[in-house]
Amino acid sequence: MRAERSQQIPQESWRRSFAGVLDEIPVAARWLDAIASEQKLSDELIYSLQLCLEELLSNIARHGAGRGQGKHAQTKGVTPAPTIEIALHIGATAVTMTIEDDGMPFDVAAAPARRIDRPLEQVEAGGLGIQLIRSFSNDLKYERAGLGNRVTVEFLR
Amino acid sequence: MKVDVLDQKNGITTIVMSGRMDIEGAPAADMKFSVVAGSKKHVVVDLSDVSFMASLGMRTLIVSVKTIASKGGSMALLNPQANVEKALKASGVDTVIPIVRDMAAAEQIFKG
Repeated sequence: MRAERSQQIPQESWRRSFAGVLDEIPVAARWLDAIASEQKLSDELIYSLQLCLEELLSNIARHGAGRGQGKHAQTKGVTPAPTIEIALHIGATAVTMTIEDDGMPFDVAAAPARRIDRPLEQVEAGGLGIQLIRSFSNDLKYERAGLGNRVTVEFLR
Repeated sequence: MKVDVLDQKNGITTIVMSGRMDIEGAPAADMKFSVVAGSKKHVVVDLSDVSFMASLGMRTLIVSVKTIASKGGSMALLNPQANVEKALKASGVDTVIPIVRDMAAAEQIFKG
């Protein structure tokens, strides 16, 4: 689904709300992909955006529930699902993706990134998402703002 | 996500995948990986047609290789696309599941 755009002024920013549940991640991915493709971003940049989007939304959907009070709060079962707002700004030299949610506070920028660096028998499956976000973005910031958690990820073009 | 399992004469099982190993694709692939990991010793995962891999897809690979290794077997990743390879290396997955360019290289790994 495409975001609405101005008919006169070339729009460089898009914003959309999603429910903080796993089922919404593919919907958000298709929304992002449609914009990125239309804006003719490079395949490498689209990959980076998609990867960071999936990892960040997955964190929110898996660990953010329990505090959300937004319009999506009762989407799934009795545990309140967070509301997520994604903003994308495409500039001449960088693309910025801002993801806000009203779920449990979580500073993803301060969370330890785990990379596999030990023998296989000691490796735990999972937990690689933060390392991927850091590897595929140029800057990662977290603050308490907007809906609650605000993560800003920057990608150089 | 499409997943085909091919048993080859040299005792190697190849899992040929195509699509995205993301939050939709990885769960769809899990069952076939689980069956192969539980029954085969030398497994090549052909990633040449996998266009995207997130951490959930890597989890599928790690769970499988741990099962295979516990039986004395091993796994190799064949020909990942550039961005997928970058993600595999960034996470360190390549340190426990080697990336190879052809089947001959995989066979060398399986020979130990």
